[in-house]
Order: sequence, then structure tokens, then C-alpha cells
Amino acid sequence: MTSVILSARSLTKTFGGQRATVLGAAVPRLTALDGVSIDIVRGTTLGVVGESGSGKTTLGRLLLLLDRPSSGEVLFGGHNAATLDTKGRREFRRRVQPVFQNPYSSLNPRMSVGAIVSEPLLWSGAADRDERRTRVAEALTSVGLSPDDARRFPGEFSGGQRQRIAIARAIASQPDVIILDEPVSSQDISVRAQILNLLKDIQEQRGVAYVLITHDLSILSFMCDEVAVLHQGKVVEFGAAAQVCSAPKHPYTSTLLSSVLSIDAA
Amino acid sequence: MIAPLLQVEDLSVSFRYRDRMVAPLDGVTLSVSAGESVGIVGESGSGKSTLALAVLRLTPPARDLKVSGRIAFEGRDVFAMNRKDLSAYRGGGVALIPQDPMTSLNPTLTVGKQVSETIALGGSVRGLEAETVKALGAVRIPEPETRLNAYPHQLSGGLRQRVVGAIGIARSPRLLIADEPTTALDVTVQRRYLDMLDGLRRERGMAMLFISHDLGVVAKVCERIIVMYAGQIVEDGPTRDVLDRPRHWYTGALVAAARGVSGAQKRLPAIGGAPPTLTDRPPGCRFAPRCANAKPQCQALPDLTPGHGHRLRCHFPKSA
Repeated sequence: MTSVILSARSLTKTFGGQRATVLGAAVPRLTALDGVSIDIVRGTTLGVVGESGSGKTTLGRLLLLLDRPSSGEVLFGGHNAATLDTKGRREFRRRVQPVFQNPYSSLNPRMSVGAIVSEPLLWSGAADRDERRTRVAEALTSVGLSPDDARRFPGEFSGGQRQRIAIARAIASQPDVIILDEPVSSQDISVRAQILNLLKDIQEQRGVAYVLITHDLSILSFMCDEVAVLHQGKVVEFGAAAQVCSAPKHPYTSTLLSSVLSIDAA
Repeated sequence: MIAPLLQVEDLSVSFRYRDRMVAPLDGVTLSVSAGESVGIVGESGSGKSTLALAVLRLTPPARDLKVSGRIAFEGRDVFAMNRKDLSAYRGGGVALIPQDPMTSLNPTLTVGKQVSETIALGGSVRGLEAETVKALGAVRIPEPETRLNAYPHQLSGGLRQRVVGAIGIARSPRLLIADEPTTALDVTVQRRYLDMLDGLRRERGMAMLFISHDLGVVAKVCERIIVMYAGQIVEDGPTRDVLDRPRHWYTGALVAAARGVSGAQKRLPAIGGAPPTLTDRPPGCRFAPRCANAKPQCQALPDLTPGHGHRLRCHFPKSA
């Protein structure tokens, strides 16, 4: 039996739709996500690929409970996450962690690296001070930084190192799922491979599941077990990564794949 | 031999940062022939955008800013140009397509106004609207007549980037500098934009300096590739040569990284460390601290040496 940790059931999210009032003009209704169902299986990577406006970031935010769905539900351990009480939500936040695209905006420049990485531990309420320190040191070591870096501030690090800090924060609370929203898009090419290799190593060691949200099709077959292709808020294709990348069934997937520019002679 | 369209010699840009001088661009020499498309590839801090701005004499002010070297366009010294010459040179001789259409277009002016402004700078006020429609049509904007009165926010990202392109080519420049013009675009849109740009360049016999961090993009539209690292050129050669037989270890690692990502192996080929920042550049070969093949001699900075239509800055190049 496969162990599904987190699922989306017919998730729909609409924005706008307000009628004109004295306070402002009408806002047209926009369906960002339209009946999406996916399952996230322990220790595997689910790729969510699509272009801008496809709804991939909205899906990530709903899975993180950062936004409420207009309809449908997020299932966590088989239960509807919307009905979790405060304690349950805290547990959810400990077990489902995010890594965002831009480590320049996702790390508070006024907090030390140690404070940043220990924050998820603080909120889960699980660890005392000494244990937090140990876990921070361990998380920093796992991402290739030094425990001494805990005393430094984000401004002292390069873009690649900052993304490592964001990953350390995500793994510190020993989550089951990490939602990676374009984790290497803002990185230099020579740094990208380092980060992707690191994410693979972490998965191997810890058995964490990833949801990899990306517009970059070239990393799918390396990183993912399964891939969902999003187009205009709907999943238009879903399957094993190797199959989706080599023998796409949906014409939109084929268009996406053929748009990837290879460095080899045509 | 005919003189190149653009000749840049030993171009350096430096300024004071805290208590020392830093040089985002450090002794760059290159030439672009008429009609040629040249790609400049580099990571953040390589100096590629600084180069583009310096060629247009648009280096932003900085403390103790020093721009040295020589830039000649069609044989004329760009640093010696007066105001009038410069306004003919910018836009007419060399035009720039900047990276982000969200910040380079004015949100309060219509598209037609912004394109026609540039055309008017060239002096032709008669038939301005017709010229504007022509420029928008040239970058394959559908129904250009109806787009004249549109504001930037009413257009998609791809169309906005085309408008920026229309401004670039409005005065028929001989050289178009495109600074990461497709970085903000989706892959399917990027592909169409590149096809458009490439077609336009061929139709008009325009030269292009295409700046990008993406080897795949450069491979598609450029005949020659110049690789920059930490403010310097490290390799320069015909596209297929550079990509199929890279001689510099940095180029080799970039090519491997670009290829590796499309394969399905256990680990991706990666370069350790990160590109040096302006203040912590190593004294010798700037890539040496990250180079798997570095030797003691690499503590001395190698020269950029020419040979067989190729230029290379490495003491111990990769065998071809």
C-alpha cells in the first residue's frame, strides 16, 4: 500500500468576482485553480509544471494552508485540513514546510540564520532550547553549511547559500512534505545543479516527499517520480515523469516540451 | 579586411565600494561585424549587463566611477561623441532591449506614444503614426493599429516584450543589444519571441549582441558565443565550437550543467562554490578556486590568447 500523506481533492480557487460598489469597480472573476486532485506519497517527488497563470503557485499555497480553497479540500492524514484545530494546525505546519523561489525575500534580513532555521521548531512547540540548537546545527550541516553560520545574517551569504538556508529551515522540523516553489529559478546555472543534488540527497536520507512546482521542464525527469501538467487551472496530463517527458499524451505537454531549447545542434 | 561594426578595446568600468575600487568590467576586448549575431553568456556578476550599458555610454553614476578603454562604432570613437552624435548613436546606431518589460515601459503612456517617441527622436515627425504601426508590425504584434492606444498593463508579458522590441528597432539600428530579453517569458512565448527576433535580424541585416545566462537560448540565435566570468572574457568562438568542444573549464562546466539537466542520471554535474562577488575576486585566474583542474600556475592571471578564430583565457585548456 502506498502511503499518501497529503492530497488535494477537487481543489478550486477563484479570485475576484466582486460587483462594482461605491468603493471600487467590478473585479472580473478568475478561476486560478479548477478541480485539481493530486496525492503526495511519502518519500517521492511530484512535479507540478505549468506556465505563468497555470495555477501552480496557487496550488502550492493551498497545500500549505496559506490560502483557503473556494471549494474542494486538502486532506492531511486522511482528514480535511480545513477542520484542524489550533493544535492540529501546528502539527500540520511542522510536517508540511515550504521553500520559496527567491531567498532574498523569503529570509528576514534582520534575523540571524540560527533564528530563521529554528523558527519552525519554535512554533511546533516540540523542542526546548538545547534541542533546538542541536537541530539547527544538524539542519545546517545537512545543507552543506557550518553550524557556526547560525550566528551570521542572510546578507552575508550568496544566493545559492541563501537557498540552502531556506532548505535548512524547511527540514529543521523534520517534515513529511516540502513544497518547493521554483526552488532554483533564481539561481545561477552553476549553482542550480548543486541545489538539485542537495534536494535529492536530503530526500534519500530523510524520506521526505516533495512537491516540486516549476516551469523548467528540463529538471523534471531528473527530480520527479510523477508529474502533473497544469494548464489554465486544470491538470491536463498526469503520469510517471519518464513517460510524461518522453511520450506526452496531451498536445499542451508536447508544446511545452518542444519549446525547451537544447544546446545541441538542431 | 572590412572594419568591424563595433569594436571594444580593453574596456573597464570601476568604482569605489566602501574603501576600495571594484571593477564589474575588467579589460574587455571584442568586436561585432555587421549583421553578425553574438551571444554573451555569463552568470550574475560576470559583467555582461555592465558591458551593454557601457557600450551605450549609459553606465549609471557611482562613486569615483571610471570608464576606460576604447569603443568605436563604424570607426567613430564613442567616448568622443557630443550630445547630438550620441542621440543619433543611441537608438539609431545601437539600440538596447532591456530585460524587464514591466519596468522599462511607462505604465501611464500608451504603447503607441512610447514607440512614436523614439521614432520622433530620429527626426521624422511626418507619418509618425504609420511608422509606429510599422514598427509594431515588424515585431509581429497582431493588429498593430488597434494596439496603439493600449496601455502596457492591457497586454500580455509576451506582447509587452514585443513592444520593447519595437522601440528597439524603431529607428533601424545597425546593432541591437538584447539584455536577457526572454528571461521573464514563459517557454512557449520565449520560443516565438526568439524566432521573431532572429527573423527580424536576418531581414534587416542587423547585428545583434544577445546577452543571456541561458546557453540554450544563445545556441538558438547566435553565430558566435563569448563567455564571461567575473568581469572578463574567458572564451570566444563560433557557437558550435564553443558548445561542442569547449576549451575553458568554466565553459565546459556550464555546457555539462546545461546538458546534464536533460539526462536522467543519479546526480547532476555541478560546479562547486559560487561565482565570486565584486569584492572577493581571486588574484589569479578568477575561475581557479572552483576549477577541478587548477594548478599552482593558476595563481597568475592568464591572458586572453587568440588562435584559430577562437580566443581563450586559460593556462591549461581542456583538450578539444
